[in-house]
Amino acid sequence: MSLDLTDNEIIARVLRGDQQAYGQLVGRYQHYVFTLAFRLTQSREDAEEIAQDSFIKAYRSLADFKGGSKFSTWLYTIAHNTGITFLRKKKLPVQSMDEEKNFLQLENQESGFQSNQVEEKSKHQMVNQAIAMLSAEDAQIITLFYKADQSLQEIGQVMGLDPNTVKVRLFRARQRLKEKMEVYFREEVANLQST
Amino acid sequence: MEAKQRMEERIWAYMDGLLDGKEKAAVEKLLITDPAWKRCHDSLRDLDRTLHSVSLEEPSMRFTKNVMDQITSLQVAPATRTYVNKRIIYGIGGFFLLLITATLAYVIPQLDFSQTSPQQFPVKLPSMEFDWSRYVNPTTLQVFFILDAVAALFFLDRYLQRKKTGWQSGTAK
Repeated sequence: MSLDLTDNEIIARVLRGDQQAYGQLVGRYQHYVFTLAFRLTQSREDAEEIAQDSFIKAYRSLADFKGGSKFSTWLYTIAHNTGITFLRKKKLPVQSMDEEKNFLQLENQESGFQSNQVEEKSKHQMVNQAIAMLSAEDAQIITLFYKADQSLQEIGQVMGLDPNTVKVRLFRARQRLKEKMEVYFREEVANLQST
Repeated sequence: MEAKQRMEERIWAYMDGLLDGKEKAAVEKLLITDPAWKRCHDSLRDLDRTLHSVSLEEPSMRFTKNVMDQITSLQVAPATRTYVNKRIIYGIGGFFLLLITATLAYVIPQLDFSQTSPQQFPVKLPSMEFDWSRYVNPTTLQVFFILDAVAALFFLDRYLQRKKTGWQSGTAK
């Protein structure tokens, strides 16, 4: 089985009855869907559940995918909606993590600074920690734009927002991320810039 | 502060490729001539590069297998367009359109625009000489309430059974 098949070719195979071909789509997008879910929940266990549900829903509805957009955009829309429904069921805040949770995370990270553990952490871990301090919505927009390779229009489709609103929210999300990094990772940022 | 924010906003738009030719040229000129713009651009470009290179979260090793195990018992559902009959949708739409048109056709010719008194309704409604007491009496009301109670119990039973099945499948996982 060729691994170079396009998404639409794999979908055509699945629709012809080749169920195993769907595994290629799962393998291709599992990290993206899992990361999106993790940005919403901040829990690996919940993110795994949301990501699995999203792939199962996508499989069941595969015949409804008309190819008018990228498969990834369609899949992320399912993942986003599944995540939001999950949070509502669990009565967790949908728009953003509450301030208390943010402060708790920050306290933990600051205690990490004191034991000099953070100095060993990579730049990527530092940015991931800063992203984790953002609201779920900000973190999702950043992930969709930078990692999932989605345009502003596509992010709008996934999150049910107007592209201009996405543009404004992306700007604000990056501003907030920059602020977090300047406040909580000042030394690390300075070290990285000097190297 | 606001000027700095506007500057950052334009630089981000420039880096995202969202500016048109004229605006892009203006920003490029500022980046060459204004050190503050250059500094800001360098700092935002660093953040932009870092964000592009950040790694994704890793799901569990068994993730694909778990999904594939779960879909083995499932079928791809038929496309919505194959079972939603458009004729029915158009039929319902047509019925309501006809109803609205008929109501307007009945009401508009009867409107008396010379009528100034707000007390009098300008449209003469058809009289309804109908003996409701033949149908609405204590016996029919009792039957109605009994049927309601039976329906409520039936749906409550179905709801509880579904919940019970959900718990059982939840514990079986």
